[in-house]
Amino acid sequence: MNATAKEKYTNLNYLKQLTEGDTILIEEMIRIYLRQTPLIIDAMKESLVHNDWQSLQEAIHKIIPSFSIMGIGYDIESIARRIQKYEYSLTISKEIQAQVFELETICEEAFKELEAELKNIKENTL
Amino acid sequence: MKTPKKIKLFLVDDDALFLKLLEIEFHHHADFAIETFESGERCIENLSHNPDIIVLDYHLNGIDKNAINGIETLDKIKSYNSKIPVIMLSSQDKIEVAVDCMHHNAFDYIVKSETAFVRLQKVITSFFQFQKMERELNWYMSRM
Repeated sequence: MNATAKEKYTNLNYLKQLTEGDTILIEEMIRIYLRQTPLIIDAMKESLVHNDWQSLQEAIHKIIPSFSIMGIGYDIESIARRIQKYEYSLTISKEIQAQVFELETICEEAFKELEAELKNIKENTL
Repeated sequence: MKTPKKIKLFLVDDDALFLKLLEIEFHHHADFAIETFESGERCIENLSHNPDIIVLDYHLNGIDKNAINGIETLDKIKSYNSKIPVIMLSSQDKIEVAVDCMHHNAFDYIVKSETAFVRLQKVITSFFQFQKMERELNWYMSRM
């Protein structure tokens, strides 16, 4: 999945609506997302290393609500939903591993966009 | 005139982003005294603040594996005071999760989605209406 110059992974419309345009709250929410999501992704990757299906599922549950908050598209959220729907298996398949890495790549792009957004907020409030 | 006492609401979720979202929604759309906690342990430590209602995440050990989970927290809340209504939240829309919550005496179970806040508001309103009716019924019964 490649975002073109016009296409972005994140869309802050919902966040702006939720906070009624309060830039302090928007900034706080973005900072929480940027602090928390890498930890969840690390937990997902660690669960792959240890073949720990339950930890993978728990991490997936934690990451799903953040997609709609940060306006990350439904097609991307559906990757996480697909992993969530897989039945428990003794080994984590290559297919699931590939989907986890795809999610990681997308989240890294989202982090860049959100860091740019934080910079914008800072510049506009100076 | 005496100002009516605000309803005290505890929000408990280790997902700091969702916790903040709920806090913002409740601040903007309802007049509650809100306390937020990122773990079941912190919620239990503060039960002496006498919450009127608690919104509790099912997967409280999703980030910290050593933390107590939502059901254990629910059990501890109920053993402290069985009358505190607890609404469970989960990103899993699964019947087993809902049944598990109900077996442990949760008041209701809500799936984390874009409509979660609206549903929470409705469930909280229903609880207080039910509580009012129960009080009125008891009042009439005591006079019969």
